[in-house]
Amino acid sequence: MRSEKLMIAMGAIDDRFIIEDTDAPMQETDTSARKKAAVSQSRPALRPIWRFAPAVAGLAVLVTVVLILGANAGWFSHRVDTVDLGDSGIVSFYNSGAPGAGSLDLGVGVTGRDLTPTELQILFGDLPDTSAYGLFSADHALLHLEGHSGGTKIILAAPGLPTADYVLEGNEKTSTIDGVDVTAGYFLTDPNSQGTRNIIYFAQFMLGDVPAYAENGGPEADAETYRTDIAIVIETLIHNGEPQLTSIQQ
Amino acid sequence: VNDQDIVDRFWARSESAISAVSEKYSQYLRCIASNILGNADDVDEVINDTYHRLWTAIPPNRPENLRAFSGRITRNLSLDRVDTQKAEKRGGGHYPLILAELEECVGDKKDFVDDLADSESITTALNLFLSQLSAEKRRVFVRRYWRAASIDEIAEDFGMSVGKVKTILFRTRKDLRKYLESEGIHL
Repeated sequence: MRSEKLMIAMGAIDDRFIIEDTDAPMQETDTSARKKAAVSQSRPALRPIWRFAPAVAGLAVLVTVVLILGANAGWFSHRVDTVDLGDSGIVSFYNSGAPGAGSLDLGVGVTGRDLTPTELQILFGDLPDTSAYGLFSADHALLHLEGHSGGTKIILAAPGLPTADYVLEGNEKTSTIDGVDVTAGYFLTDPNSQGTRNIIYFAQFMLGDVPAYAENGGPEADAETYRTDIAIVIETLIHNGEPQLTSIQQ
Repeated sequence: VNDQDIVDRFWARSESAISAVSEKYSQYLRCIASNILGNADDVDEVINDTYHRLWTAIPPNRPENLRAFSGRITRNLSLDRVDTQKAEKRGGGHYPLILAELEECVGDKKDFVDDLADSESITTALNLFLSQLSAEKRRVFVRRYWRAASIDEIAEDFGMSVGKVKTILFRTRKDLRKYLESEGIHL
């Protein structure tokens, strides 16, 4: 296997990289350490606590007022989860109600099959661990596919057709990733018998004229993993550009 | 005991060199072997083999960094053992997952059979690639693909979220693939 060859070659890298790795874990930067030292040195001696009582009371009143006003204004009703993709942009997932289920009715007679590795490469490029099932029209055109990259579900549809397992509704917001608008959100399921809630992240965007939908989720405790995984898939699909659905025939 | 004292003991053929290495680096070496092999018995054997290999390798070698030298021996012995395990259809720590990840770096140039790079030229390219990375990315990448550490362990050791580690690894693998292709290296 070629990856084994790479793993073996990796074993012979310069000592300096190995030594660097075996040094202490990430250290504070000199700047941040200096700042902390400066703050520590300039901190005055502790005073009797009663001296702070008026300030604490005033702050408490201020915080209470802000909370009441904020709640009335709806500031706290939705948490926003984000994934920073560096130069590509930031994907923001806004809390939404559960997406409304819609039925996928392509309105024509279709046949389906699993897509081949070559076809997956055409559609998904570098995305790892991919699979997909395609629906084809009577004249053999690929109309719709539902696939996966790892744990992320990906749905693509021919131009003008819906991806349509879900209809986004609620408080989803649009982020821009490498110039492409990505409408993203998440929702939480009710707790199961063990009290565990699942979180589902989802996003809808256009790859050229091809509508795309992505979804990933699972136990809420692993939310960050799902969020990161779906963001990487979105970024990669956008970098790949418009998938050539027409090059795939039944 | 500093590394040079231990190396001197090896050169003097003193068996105390082995106990000194064991005392100083056994945890580190166990960590590498365990990440790759995942089986305690195999790990014990690899660690013992590492000490034996050190005994036969020093002299003639006089490693400047005994930790890296020992770690490299443990890693290679562990990978050799994984090959044996595969033949015997036994599992092996994180290794299968790590190999699957590295598949993303090797491209699709399966037809270039006459142009396959040798291990030495791949290592040279890896050294150049690693030297161009930020320290943070490089340390995460080396921890994963040299030391075969788990994503969770890397996140904990470097004070990062699991998501950030995965993102760094994903991007670095993509960059490595592009770099190897740009250097004309086909695996």
